[in-house]
Amino acid sequence: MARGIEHRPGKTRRLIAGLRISQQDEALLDTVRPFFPEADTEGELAYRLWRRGLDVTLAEAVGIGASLPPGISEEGIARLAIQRLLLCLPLFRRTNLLALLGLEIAPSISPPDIEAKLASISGPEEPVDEHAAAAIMSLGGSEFL
Amino acid sequence: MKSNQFAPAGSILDLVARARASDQPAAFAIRPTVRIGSASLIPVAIDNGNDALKGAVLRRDPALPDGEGVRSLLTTLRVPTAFAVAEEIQGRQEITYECDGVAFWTGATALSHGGDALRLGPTVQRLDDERQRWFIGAGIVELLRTAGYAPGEHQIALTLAVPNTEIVIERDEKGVEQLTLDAQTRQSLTRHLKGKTWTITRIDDARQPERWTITVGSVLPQAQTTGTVVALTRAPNGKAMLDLAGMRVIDIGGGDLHVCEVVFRPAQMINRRPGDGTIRIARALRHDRRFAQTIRNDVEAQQALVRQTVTRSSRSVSIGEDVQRVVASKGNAMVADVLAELSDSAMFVVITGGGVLLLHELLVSVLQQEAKEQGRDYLLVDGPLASELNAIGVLFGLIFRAAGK
Repeated sequence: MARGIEHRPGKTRRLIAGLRISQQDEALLDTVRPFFPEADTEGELAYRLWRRGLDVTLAEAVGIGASLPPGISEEGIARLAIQRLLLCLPLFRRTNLLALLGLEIAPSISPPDIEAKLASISGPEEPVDEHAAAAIMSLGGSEFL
Repeated sequence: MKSNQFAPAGSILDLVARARASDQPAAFAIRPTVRIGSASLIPVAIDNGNDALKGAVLRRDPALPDGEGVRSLLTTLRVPTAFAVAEEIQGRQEITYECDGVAFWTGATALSHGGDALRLGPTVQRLDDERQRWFIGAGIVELLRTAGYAPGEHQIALTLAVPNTEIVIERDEKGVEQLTLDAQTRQSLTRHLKGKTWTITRIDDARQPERWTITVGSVLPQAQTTGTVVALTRAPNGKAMLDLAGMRVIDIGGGDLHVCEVVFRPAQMINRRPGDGTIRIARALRHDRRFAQTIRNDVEAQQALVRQTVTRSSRSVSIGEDVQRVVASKGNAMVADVLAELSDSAMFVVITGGGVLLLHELLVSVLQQEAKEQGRDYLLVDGPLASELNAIGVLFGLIFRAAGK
């Protein structure tokens, strides 16, 4: 549970908000919890998640012109935010969002690689129905020139 | 109405339409190459229509990990059949192709620089024009490039959707009647495309010339209606998805309104040409005195119909109202022809072709009054797919045919 004051070596944190979360949020929290083994309390876990959100939100705000507090550079904020987004890349790629947004061009297949790539294909392939060729021939597609 | 919702479930048309509805490339669990003899070739389909070249090709899904799985993505392309010899440009460079020492523009680029429409007519007449052959070569380069292939040497198996009228009945050596290509078209394709190598340099504003060498390892001509039949009745693996004895295909093309009755067993093909295709609408626009200076040829007129704009005194001018007017007059006559073909048919009817896009509203409103039921009695292929369906279908026809070779 959250504690009033966090005492960590070299760091003091002030309690600024309590969190009231829904059952659905709690389920999502359970999904990410295993990825923060170092967070030994609910408060520590909440802080780490909040910190990640703050990094990205800060980058969004600075991106549209917000001023940063003294001593914090745009480059530093950008580096923090990009780390978060880089971790999302496999998901974005799998769901085709990068290509859809034009952020990633599908890698070209260089001609010498084609044969090698084809030779290595070993996944499930749907064989062509044996009657399909005859259907094409009967419709006039009989001659390979 | 949801686009193409009546396509037979699991058919090539259905899968492509669903993918496009969700802004995804259509993907299939088949290889992107075919083996013909000892050669592994990239299958490339071309439907070289009077108004535009439509192309289709597959490539291996680049998202697949190396060595895992078989998944191919479909790419299609449409290039208006216009050609212009390229001129020196200072400033932003247009996409320019160079072949046999001639630099040229095609498609929309050619049209924006006063290009000419290419020759219409049967395959023999068209392929005799070397500009047509350069145009096809450049179209294949652009298709492969769009699909993600890199510049270099590529060997292709080329399938062409030829006019149905170029398919004839002949007896084979056993005396069995079969549909086959007419002798003139066969000679023309053999002379101009079999074993053809295009060496094309492509230049664009990035000013990094790309050198493409495309060699045609094999040519498979197919009747253009075969493309529609395959896309509608077959799954990507060739399995039959629609059990019909035959169908009537009404193809509203750029040049022709074409009707083809196909019977599957025994194979028969009966062709009619009730009239011109959308060219009759385009010509009404072209012959309007107000466009005398801005629309100079048929392909410009077709393009003006599609885009609903013309360029006048360096300005892009909307001609939406004029297009609506000519579509309402000439288009209604075409729709009447289509409706007559639908009404008097005892067969399942498919209405397709690039003209569907232009006549969509008129067609839908009259079809709603029709006693026949969409999905059960007929199918209206919707959206840009109507224009590309023949190319997509013959691409799969080539793949099926190569598998059974």
